[in-house]
Amino acid sequence: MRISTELSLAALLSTVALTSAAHHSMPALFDTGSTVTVSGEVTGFQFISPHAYILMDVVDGAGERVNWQIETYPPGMLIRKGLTPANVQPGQTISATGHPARDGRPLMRLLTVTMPNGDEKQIQ
Amino acid sequence: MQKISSRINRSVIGSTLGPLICAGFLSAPSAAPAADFTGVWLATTPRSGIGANQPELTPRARADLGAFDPLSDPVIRCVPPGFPRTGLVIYPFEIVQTEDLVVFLYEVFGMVRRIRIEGGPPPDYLPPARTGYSVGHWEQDQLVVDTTHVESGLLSGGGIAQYGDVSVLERYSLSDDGQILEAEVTITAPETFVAPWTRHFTWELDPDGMIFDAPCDPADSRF
Repeated sequence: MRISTELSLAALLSTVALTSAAHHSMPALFDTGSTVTVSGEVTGFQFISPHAYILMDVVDGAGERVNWQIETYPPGMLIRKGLTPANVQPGQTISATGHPARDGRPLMRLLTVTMPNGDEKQIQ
Repeated sequence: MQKISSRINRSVIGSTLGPLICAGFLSAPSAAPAADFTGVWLATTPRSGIGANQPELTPRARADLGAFDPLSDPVIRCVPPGFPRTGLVIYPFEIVQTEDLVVFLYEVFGMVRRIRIEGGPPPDYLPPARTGYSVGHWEQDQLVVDTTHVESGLLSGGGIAQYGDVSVLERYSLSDDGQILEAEVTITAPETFVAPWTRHFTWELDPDGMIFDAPCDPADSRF
């Protein structure tokens, strides 16, 4: 089982602090009271505004491949943090932890990412 | 390093000449910048925007907040946010300044805000605009900015609305070493806030930094 969900006090505390960090209302669209971690193969990286998206295939508990969309900051912020299409490329394996979408879609707001080289980056 | 010493020198010159100017020995260089804010500024973290220290809302603003649909936020469709929302978010900006103008170049949607130094009142007729009409003046080495004529829209991404009656007073100053930009921002919006709302913000200088642009296509929205 590569998908785990946990309630996180840290996430709860950071909700208030980060409310305005996102362009849209993050608590309304994402469950900022919980976090989810997925690992899998990168299938794409849309380096766009107002939010960038890493796309990745994740094998769920039933053995099905599910394409997750990992929403994160716009490109400028990611360039400063060193998370770009230059170091996260299709075919590579990453792990992403973030707040899941409230509507249950395979979509999250990224908090931390384990890069293909094993480095962990805190993004938000 | 050169930039830092230039900032300090300007400050020293300003404090040296100040008494002479007050005493009438020199003509006051009223338009001359008293501090150099030039550079790329990154919000220091943690950053709370309007999320913490929530101001008391009017009944109208409370009702609109309660009915707010986050999917109605125009930003999702690549429409730039207005002021002061632009200045409350975590995203960086670059400041470029001359004697007559201080320009904020926001990374958010490539927005531009011009602050006219000693710019005088706005024209008799001036429609509200996304970034409003900003006039600044120097009080010693502090830049004081008054902004009016801001169009209605969202004051925060969380759904607090503004209704066209917003005025914003900003006071910018540099730390002694020139590395930190500080601002005290007071938002007066009687239709939104029961009382004026004041926040303190800081940014750190990114000496080699630049502001990035990126395409935004509404078709890419997930929401």
